[in-house]
Amino acid sequence: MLRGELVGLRARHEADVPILDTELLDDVEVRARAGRRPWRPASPGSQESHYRVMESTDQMAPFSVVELATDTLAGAATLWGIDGHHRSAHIGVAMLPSFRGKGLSTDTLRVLCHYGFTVLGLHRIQIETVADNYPMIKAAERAGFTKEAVLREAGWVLGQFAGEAILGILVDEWAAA
Amino acid sequence: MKGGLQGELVGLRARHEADVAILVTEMHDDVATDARGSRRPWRPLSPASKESFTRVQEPNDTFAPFSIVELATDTLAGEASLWEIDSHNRSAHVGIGLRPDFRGKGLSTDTLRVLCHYGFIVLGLHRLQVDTLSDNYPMLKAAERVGFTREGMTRGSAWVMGEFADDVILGMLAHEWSGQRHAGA
Repeated sequence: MLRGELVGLRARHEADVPILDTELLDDVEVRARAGRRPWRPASPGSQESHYRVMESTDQMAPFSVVELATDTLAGAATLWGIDGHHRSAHIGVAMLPSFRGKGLSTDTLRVLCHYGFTVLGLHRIQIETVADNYPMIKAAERAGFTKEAVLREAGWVLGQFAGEAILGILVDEWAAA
Repeated sequence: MKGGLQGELVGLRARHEADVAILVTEMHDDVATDARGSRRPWRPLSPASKESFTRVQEPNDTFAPFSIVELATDTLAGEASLWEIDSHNRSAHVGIGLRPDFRGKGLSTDTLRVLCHYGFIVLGLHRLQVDTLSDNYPMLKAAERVGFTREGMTRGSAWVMGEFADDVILGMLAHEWSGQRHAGA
C-alpha cells in the first residue's frame, strides 16, 4: 500500500466494487461530469463497471483509496494513459460522497504523484476535469499542479457543453515542493 | 481530382495504394519530422508495413483518414485526418502532414478549412481541436488564420528528439465556423 498523511492507496478488492458502483457509478450526474462517455445502466457485478477489479497494466494503475484514520474505503483513484515514451500519465480521482470536503483528494493526488514520479519515473502528470469542478481544481493546485488550458465546450454534460480544464505538474516542480 | 472534398487549393480524398510509398519515404522516413508529428517514437517501417499511419485503411466511426491532393497539379501533397471522432461529445482532433515540396504554399490553411467543413457540416460536430508543438509556427499560423483559438499549452508533454517540448491546444466551435461562412470570409 502507498501511504500519504490521510489516505492509503491499495489495489481494488472485490468488497469495494458494490460500494463504488452504488455510490459513484449509479450517480448519473457524478458520472456524466467525470467521464467522456454517456452514463449507461450497469448491472451489479458488470464487467463494464469502471470500478471492477482489474489488473494493472503498463498503461493503467487502478487504486482504491482508504482513509487511514478509520481504515475505511473512501474512493477510487487511477493513473491512466501511462505513456512510457513521453513519460507522462493522467490522473482520475473520485471520492465517495461522505468522504468529500475532508482534504482527502489533495492527499490522494500527492500519493499518486509519488507513485508516478518516484516509482514509475515519469516526467509529467496531468489532470483533466470539468472547468467548474472547483473542489478538484483547488485540490490539484494545492498539490502543486498548474492550470494550463481550458478547452472550450469540450464535453457534453447533461444537456449542455461544458469546458474542460487541464492541469499539469512536472517532476522538477514535484521534487521542489 | 473529381469527387471527394474540395477546397480552393486542395482536395481531400481516400488514400490510394500509390500514395503509400511516397508518404512513407518522404514523411515517415524523415525521423526528425516524424518525431515532431507523432505521439510514438520513430521506428523503421517497410513501405508495405501495415503499421504505418500512411497505409490504406477504411474509415470508421472514430477515424477519417484522407490524402491531400494539390488541385492545380493534381498531385499528392500530403495526408490529413480527423481522429478521435467522439459522437457523444461531438468533437474530433485534426492532423495534417504535408510532403516537403508542398510546404509554405498555404495548403495547410486550405486543408484545415476543408476538414472543418467535413467535421462541422458533414459530421455535425460541435468542436474541432488542433494539438501541435509550441514551436510549430506554420501550423499555429494556419490554424489561427482559419479561426482556431489558442486555449492553452501542456508543458513538457512531448518527448521530441532528446528533450521535452510543449504542446499547444487550439479549438474551434461550430458556431464560430458557421459565423465566418455567413460573413463571407
